[in-house]
Amino acid sequence: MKINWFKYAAPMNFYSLSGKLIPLFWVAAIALTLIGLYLGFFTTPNELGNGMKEYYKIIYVHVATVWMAMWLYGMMVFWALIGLIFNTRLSYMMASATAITGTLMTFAGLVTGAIWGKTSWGTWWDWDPRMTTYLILFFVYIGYISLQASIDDTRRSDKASAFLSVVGLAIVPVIYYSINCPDPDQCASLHQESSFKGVESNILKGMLITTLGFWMYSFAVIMMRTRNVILKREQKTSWVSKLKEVS
Amino acid sequence: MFSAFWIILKRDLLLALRRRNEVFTVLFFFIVVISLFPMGIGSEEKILTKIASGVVWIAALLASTLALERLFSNDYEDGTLEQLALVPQSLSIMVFAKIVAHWLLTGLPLVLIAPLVGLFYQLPMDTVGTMMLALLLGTPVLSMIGAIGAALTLGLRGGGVLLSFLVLPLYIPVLIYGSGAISASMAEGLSVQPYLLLLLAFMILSVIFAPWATASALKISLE
Amino acid sequence: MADFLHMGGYGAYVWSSMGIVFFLLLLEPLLLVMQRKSIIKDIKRIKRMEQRTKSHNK
Repeated sequence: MKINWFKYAAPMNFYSLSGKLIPLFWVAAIALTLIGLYLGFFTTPNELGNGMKEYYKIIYVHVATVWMAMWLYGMMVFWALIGLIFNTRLSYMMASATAITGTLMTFAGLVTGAIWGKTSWGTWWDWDPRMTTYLILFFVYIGYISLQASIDDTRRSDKASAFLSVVGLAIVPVIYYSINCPDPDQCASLHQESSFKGVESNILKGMLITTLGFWMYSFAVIMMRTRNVILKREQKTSWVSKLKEVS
Repeated sequence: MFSAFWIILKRDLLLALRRRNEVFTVLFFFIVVISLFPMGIGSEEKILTKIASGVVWIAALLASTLALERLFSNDYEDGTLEQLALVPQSLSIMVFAKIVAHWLLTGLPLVLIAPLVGLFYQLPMDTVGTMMLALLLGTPVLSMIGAIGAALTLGLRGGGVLLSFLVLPLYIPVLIYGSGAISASMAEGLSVQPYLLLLLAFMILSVIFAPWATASALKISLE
Repeated sequence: MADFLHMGGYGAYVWSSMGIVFFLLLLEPLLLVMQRKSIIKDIKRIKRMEQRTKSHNK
């Protein structure tokens, strides 16, 4: 069965396809999150070998939100680039739909990260490279949303924020590098080294499955938002006035 | 191609000379900000020498975002900018000329006023020298990167604050290595060379990419 | 069960983390559903007004 992907670049077709997919994504999101958290909470020890007590179980949501924050930014830039290169309306709509979900994930990551920090290192906040760069990511997301909100003309605001997101992508690694290595000869960090070596498999499964659940959630929510944007922008078209929900 | 550069450069400098106050307000903003820190934090020599490297750069960043609003706004308001975008010469070259003029008027003065910072913050002579060199390398980067933000926020209400908010995170690497250079010059046994080389690298990269990026952003804003 | 909630003394931290995350994850779709309803309401209203002017102009 040959699927013509370009058909779904038209808002009208995307609207109907996503309408059917959204409930599936919701089911997947809820199922995966519940499984991930069940594994994480009920099949894992109460205390880890390195002295971490039960608070370590925050990690399931913390890691999930942080990864989503970063990947959603990447997805946003992807759609932004498609829009800038091919000038497709729908890709711009998806980019801006992704932004808000990404911002919420980033915020959730900051809060859970602060709580995690308080429990495992004793401090709510520390200006270490990963955390600081993550805070900058939050600022970049907010900047994207502010810029889009300040421009009335839809075409200009779509393109300008798309452009900004690409600039952000270019600069964030440089920022990370400069904070991590303020002395060019010396690089340092407090944030836990990637904790995947020697992690009990159920904890790992819990993290990965919960993250997958959050991915499904993100797809569902971004599609919902994109459909709203489509309805709003295309309200004068005939296909919208023929929709079941509008008659 | 280069004649377009010189024409725009001369024009912008000439226009700015007729509005000299715009240049001076940026400079005095910088001076006021560096004067505020000792009042707010403390004026003992130990404190001053410790915070000087960060303070001078933060003041430079803020002064830069203030100055950026003016980069395109005058030409945008009287329609000249749209004309420039339509002309067959490369918009990137003309934008580059505008940024250079802008830097000469708002960035270079900061380099020249650095000895005053040295005076206020009781810094040794060779640190002041490093500071001037670091500012000389870093302020062009601020103007170049900032121009992209100025182009994106062209003509928007609430533009100045939005511009600052968008551009300040982009300045962080310059802040870190610029202040690092100054701190290193005050510390025993540390070399400033790696910092200055990094700043030089930033400057070269921004000169290569920023005018083109700014021109693209201008085209988006002018549609 | 009480042990589960207590989380070895760290209950407040763990549950507030989970709480904030799920609060946000539920808030967003809720707001989106409300937004969708309001957009559809607007479209219907405009449609009705247009139909009324059309029948007037006949």
